[in-house]
Amino acid sequence: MMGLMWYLMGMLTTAALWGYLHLRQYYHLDWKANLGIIGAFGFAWICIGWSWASFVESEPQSGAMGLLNFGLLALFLGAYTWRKFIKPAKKMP
Amino acid sequence: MMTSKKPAQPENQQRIEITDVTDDASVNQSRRNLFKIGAGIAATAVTGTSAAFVADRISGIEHDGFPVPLDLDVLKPFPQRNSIFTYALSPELALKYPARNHTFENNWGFQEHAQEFGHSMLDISYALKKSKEMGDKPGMSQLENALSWGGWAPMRVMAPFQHMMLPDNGVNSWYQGPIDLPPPIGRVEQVAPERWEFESGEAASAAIKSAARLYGAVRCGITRNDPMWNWDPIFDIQKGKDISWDEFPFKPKSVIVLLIDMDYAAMATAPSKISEATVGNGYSMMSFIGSSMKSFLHGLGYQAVVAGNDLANSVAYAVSAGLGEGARNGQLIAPRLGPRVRIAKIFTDLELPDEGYDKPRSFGIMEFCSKCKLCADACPADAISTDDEPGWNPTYEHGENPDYSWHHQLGVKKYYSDAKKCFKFWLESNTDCGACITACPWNKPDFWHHRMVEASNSFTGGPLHTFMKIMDNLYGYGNTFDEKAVQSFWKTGKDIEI
Ligand code: SF4
Ligand code: SF4
Repeated sequence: MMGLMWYLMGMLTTAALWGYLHLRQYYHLDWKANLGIIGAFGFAWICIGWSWASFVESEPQSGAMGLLNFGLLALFLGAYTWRKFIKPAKKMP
Repeated sequence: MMTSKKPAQPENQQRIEITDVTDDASVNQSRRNLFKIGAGIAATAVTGTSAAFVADRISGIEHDGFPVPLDLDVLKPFPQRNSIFTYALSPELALKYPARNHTFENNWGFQEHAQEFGHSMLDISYALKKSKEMGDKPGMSQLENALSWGGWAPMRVMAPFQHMMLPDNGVNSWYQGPIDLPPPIGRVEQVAPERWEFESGEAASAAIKSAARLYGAVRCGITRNDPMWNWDPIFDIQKGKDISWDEFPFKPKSVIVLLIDMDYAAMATAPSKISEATVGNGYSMMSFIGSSMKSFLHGLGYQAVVAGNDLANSVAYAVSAGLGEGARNGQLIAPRLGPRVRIAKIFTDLELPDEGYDKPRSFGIMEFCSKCKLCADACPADAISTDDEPGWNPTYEHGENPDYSWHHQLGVKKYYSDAKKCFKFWLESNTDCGACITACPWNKPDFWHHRMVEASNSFTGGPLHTFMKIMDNLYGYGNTFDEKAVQSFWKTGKDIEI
């Protein structure tokens, strides 16, 4: 089960990198946007890794707390970064 | 160009000016560069130092001496007759020290209750009867009793009662001479006639630890024999008398300390017969791995004796061998395993050069303990100290009365537990409890997120440790008397299906 988790997280990381490069084509990403993206990705990564591992080790409460704390942090930070720093910096066609 | 806009000036002056400007710029530039390089070096140094600090804390800070404050005017080798197990099993000691029975819980009577304990260990029918009398609670049914019975079985055969500190017994025998095998082989020596000489201390250490790993130990450390941590005199419960170290078959030079881990899912059910099963399995593995290590040393031409809880203070030796720290709950906490370990020792006359021995190390565990107290909160017998800081004496009720607190090796700055209350709870609950192991935040299975948290606990402190302790609870770890854990345990067999 943990092997599957690492495999999926590897895939997710590759997909996220591809998404980031795609985003750069259309938006000017300054340091704040980059920091927000890295932070949101980091929390999302910890959220998946933490919760998955907790369910595997039969500690569902820890899994739920991981989803709640790290997942929400990732969502908030991602949304905030998008609205404040990415969306307003769209490149002119 | 810079000069073209300026009023005409003699060429040399102009040149001088230009030169000056250029010089200033180059000086400023080089200062800036220097500053940048300096800042870079400083940043690298700060980052490097911080990284080194963090790495050092995680892998443990080495100490030249014992890493816990000792009062050498008070600290003396501990006579084994003052240990709870030994006293409880010995009618001779009951006669010699009647006050120990009288001062505890209105004449509770250790020997009388220890009989039941021994009986449960040796008679499955009796163990089942006791569980039935207690209402066959979850984790205490015939199924779980049978599991425990199986866990302890190898130890019962290989080294009976080594967990109760019985020395010189089974594979823990002190005998180093020849043994008689059935014909046609006849008499054979246990110890090889020639001694293997290691190239260096490092080579010896590497070989010993490789052998320990192969036989099944999860950690191995090597330290010098230290009479301060040896039971002295030793007490033979069967013969009811003290034994001097002069009767030991050789002068021990080194002590090889082995850690054997217990199962996380089984320990999560504590106190129950399932947690008792993993404790028993741990003791059995101590005998199994210990006897292999003894034979390995014999094969190298050195004398060796295996010890479980007998012969010496296992926690002190494990600390000396750099395997962890002594904690509030009185047990060893090993990084990445927590207190979920059992400790075996091999006494040998193999002496290593200095570099072959491990140094004690501290991992920030005692600092964490001062903020934590989860084991004390979880202890059903209130046996664990809730003091904020370690001290030199027991601080529990009646702790100042030597007839009540007779079982401590004083002179060590630590948390003093009332082991009598602990032992009483074992007998009342018909288990060997272990709730203080389960509740400890360092007791975690081997998953990356626990390693991350544990690493951060090693180099942080103060309020962050309090925060981590609270989070451990909120995240649902360390529950004791947990019926769901019993159900979860019985599903763990799925993990080894193909
Ligand atoms: S084993 Fe149980 S009774 Fe004994 S100290 Fe630990 S928690 Fe308390
Ligand atoms: S539960 Fe807390 S106080 Fe007790 S031994 Fe573990 S870390 Fe120390």
